[in-house]
Amino acid sequence: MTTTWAAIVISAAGVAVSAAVVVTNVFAVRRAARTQLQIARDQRISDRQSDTYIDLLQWVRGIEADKRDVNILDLAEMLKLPDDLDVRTTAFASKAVRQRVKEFVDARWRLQQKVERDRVRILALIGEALKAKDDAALQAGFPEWPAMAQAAAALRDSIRRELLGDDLA
Amino acid sequence: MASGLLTNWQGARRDKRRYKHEREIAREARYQERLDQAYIALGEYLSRFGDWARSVHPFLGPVPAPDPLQPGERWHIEALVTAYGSEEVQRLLDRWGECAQRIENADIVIRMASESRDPGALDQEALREKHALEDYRKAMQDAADAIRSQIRRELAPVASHRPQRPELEA
Repeated sequence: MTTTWAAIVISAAGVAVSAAVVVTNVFAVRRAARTQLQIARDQRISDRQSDTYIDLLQWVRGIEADKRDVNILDLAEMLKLPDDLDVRTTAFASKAVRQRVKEFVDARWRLQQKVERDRVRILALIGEALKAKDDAALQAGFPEWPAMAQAAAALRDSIRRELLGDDLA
Repeated sequence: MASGLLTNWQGARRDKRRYKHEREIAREARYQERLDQAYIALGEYLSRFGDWARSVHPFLGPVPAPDPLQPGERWHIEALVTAYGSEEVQRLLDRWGECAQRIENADIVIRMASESRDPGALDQEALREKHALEDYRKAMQDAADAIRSQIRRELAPVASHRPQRPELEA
């Protein structure tokens, strides 16, 4: 009788272990599939994010390089992100980068307002800086100018940190 | 039974670690590919500017200048290097930019003097710049070679000069 019970218990234990192995394997297979999907998804998002960031850097560089004395309407047009880039920025850029883009645009607007208010004084400062080959006085009297460069540098730094960290947040 | 469950549990943990590792490898491969692209574009950019430097008032005969690089193309390459290039490459690139700027300035002075009806003092400066051009070109070439060497070191199979990645600094 005891031998029969022992056989039953051992068989039940064997069945339990087999069931546990099957369940674990099912989970392992699911986890493997999920990981592959996750890697593919990371790749896709990261590629799009990277393209978006490169285009944003290019856009900022273009605005910095444009030294024309533009009016407010032209500036508004210039500071508007191209539609495609605007959509991609909303979709793939992090909150921090979007904030830096906004700060850069604000800095450019402040620069414009200052130029329109104090055009004569600023032109005089530029003239002095060119003559003296020293722009310290220009930077001190016209802080909106270095502020825009600082905003651009902050945006570049933010993008670089994310891309090197490949942050998909 | 206990041994079976333990083996399964350990297997599950091993799988988790392997998958995490796989994701890290995929991320690293992605990063490496972008770094390669950025540095290849930078190499082409340097070669093109090298051709341009050789064409600026050459010592012997006219040397044809390469087609000018469109601003958009230049900004794209700058953006790639800003995003992925190491700090060392960016530092070397700044130094190279100063050398290129010197050649550009010399070119402007020489042109202005040759186009001016009354060159006067400008002529002296133009002559000085013309003599200095070979040194400027050499400095730019050396700066470009330093960038190429750094790129080679970073892209080598066992890279010891990789750009600092934020998560690796932590």
